[in-house]
Amino acid sequence: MKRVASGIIRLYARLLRLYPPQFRAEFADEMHEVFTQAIAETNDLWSLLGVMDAEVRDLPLSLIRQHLRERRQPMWNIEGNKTMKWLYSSKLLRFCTVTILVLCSLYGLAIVSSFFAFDMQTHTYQTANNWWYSYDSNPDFIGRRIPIGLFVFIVYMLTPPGLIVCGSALGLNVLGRWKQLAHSERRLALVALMAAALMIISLNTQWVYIGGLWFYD
Amino acid sequence: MRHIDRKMMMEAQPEQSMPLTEATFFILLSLAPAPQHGYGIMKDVEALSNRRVTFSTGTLYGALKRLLQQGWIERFDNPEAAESGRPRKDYKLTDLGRRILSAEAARLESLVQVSRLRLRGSER
Repeated sequence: MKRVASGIIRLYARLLRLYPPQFRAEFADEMHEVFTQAIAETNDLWSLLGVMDAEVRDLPLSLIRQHLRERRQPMWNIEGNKTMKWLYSSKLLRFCTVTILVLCSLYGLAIVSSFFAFDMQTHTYQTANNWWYSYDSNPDFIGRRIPIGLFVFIVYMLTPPGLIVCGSALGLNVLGRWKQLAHSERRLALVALMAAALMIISLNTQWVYIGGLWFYD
Repeated sequence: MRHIDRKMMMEAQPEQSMPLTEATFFILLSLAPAPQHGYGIMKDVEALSNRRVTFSTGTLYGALKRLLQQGWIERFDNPEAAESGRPRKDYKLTDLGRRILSAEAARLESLVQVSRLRLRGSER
């Protein structure tokens, strides 16, 4: 009986190696101790086999669960990494989300206001299209629409660097501590990231023009 | 837009994490009177549930790990209980864990009350 028990405990110690490394490092000793105690309390072969049977039956599911959980851990471990802590702070997450959403609003306003500047009611789609691509030399634009043009220009200059810096910081923040984020933060951050992606895709494409035209109509 | 992480959110509103699974409920319940070690929890849960809920070591420690991450329980070294020379690891409820257990108990109590009222009504 003792030999069987020690054999089973040895086998269990080997099975523990199947758990993922992090889980093993944290709990393997304790699990081994608990299992040894459970075996020590059995008084006949059948109860001993019963304990082993319960372990073996639960093992596959438990292994899968722990491996999946360990894979789902954040991509970067930020515990104790003081230099990177600023990147994973809530303040930065809030700042980047708000900045991207503000840039997004300004960007939308810039698109719409440029169509007002071109006076779409009296000009055809084609003229406006030409103006859109040659507004540097367009006297109508330069003469009367300088404030709007300036606004559009500033927004266009601010948008790409703003999106790249804030979008990267927000993306890293979200990936690094997804599990620690509240649902409202996740939602807002994802909306901001999607808006940033759409803005980057739309920069310098016909979509900007079409979007503005659609809004104006 | 005030930052509230999930743990803080649960602290503010324990009912957000309701209902608890039976296993989680029994683990928290077994730690309610005093701290326990892994084997103690295993045996206590068996007794509390009339052997309906039995844990293998894998399931037990998987659940304990999750509860530790959620901040519902704490692990600490218990040098007094050391048998093999090493300090034994014991587990205890945190304030958050205790609040969640109380909230779950209150929820179950109200369910029982409502069911009793309904059943009495239908017997008449």
